[in-house]
Amino acid sequence: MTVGDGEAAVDRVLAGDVEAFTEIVERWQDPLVALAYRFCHDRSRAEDMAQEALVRAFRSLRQWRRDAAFSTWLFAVATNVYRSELRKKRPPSAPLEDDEFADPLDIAADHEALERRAAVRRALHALPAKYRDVLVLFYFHDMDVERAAASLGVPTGTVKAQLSRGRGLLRRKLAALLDAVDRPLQEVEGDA
Amino acid sequence: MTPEEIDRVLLDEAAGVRASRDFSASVMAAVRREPEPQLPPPIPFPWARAWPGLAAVGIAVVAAWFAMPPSMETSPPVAERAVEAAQWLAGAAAVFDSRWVLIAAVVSVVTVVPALAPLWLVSYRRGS
Repeated sequence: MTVGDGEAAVDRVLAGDVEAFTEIVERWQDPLVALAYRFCHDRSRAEDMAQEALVRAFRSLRQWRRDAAFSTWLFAVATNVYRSELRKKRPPSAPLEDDEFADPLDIAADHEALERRAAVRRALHALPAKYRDVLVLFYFHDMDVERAAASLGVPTGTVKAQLSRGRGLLRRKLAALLDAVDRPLQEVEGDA
Repeated sequence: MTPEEIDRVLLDEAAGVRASRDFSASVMAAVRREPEPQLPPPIPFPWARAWPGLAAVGIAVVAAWFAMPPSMETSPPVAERAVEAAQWLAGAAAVFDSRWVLIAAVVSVVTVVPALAPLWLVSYRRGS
């Protein structure tokens, strides 16, 4: 993501060719929507947030100083937009899963796994913002601390410290959530 | 859940989430409504302020060309003048604190020599 990730298109946009920005949009739209979805868990809102991020990037394109890759700068812009959007409006509580097209038999078989995934999401979004944001970016960047730090605009040491604390908090919240999920099931099994 | 399971869930969280088909068109419509981003114009060289200084330097060089003696032979050689200066400094050092005199002398030489070098060069060329 460091070479050919949009530099040529940026030059053309800055030279007055606005349509060249289409190349940047098409290259980065999926990762930006996926990152937004990780923050808000709402597909429609994720697209709105990604659009705002791209428009903000277009507006401030000349502020990219080229001392970092374009993608690094773009994700940092997007992260700022997403975090400020979330400060304005909290994400909804995490749904179980997008299972409208799933086979009913599979739903029954995977029920527990889905509950656990939903519990992880709920635990993640119940964390204080500074830990949640670090964790979201860490996993979005395939557990790469340096790229997460670049997106957040903080030193890697800060990210490592917040990751350690955030993961500890996540495990504790998750244990409590899973305990609450498992208890009714155990009661049902005990009755049977 | 084990930490590995949590990692796996969080890594796969947005798997399959992609932009919709009309997303790009929607973004570009919004972008077209924005004013074009432009590179800031380069800062122009301040010729209005530089010209008086450059002119003064030119006049000083021309004036020095005519004001300097026609040959280095009429003025004492550099080595002789250096010896005289050293003798004077030694006498001054005997009277005052030599360290401060030395520092002042070195600072003066470092400051004055580069400034007078062009004049010496002009003088040398005229003499030769």
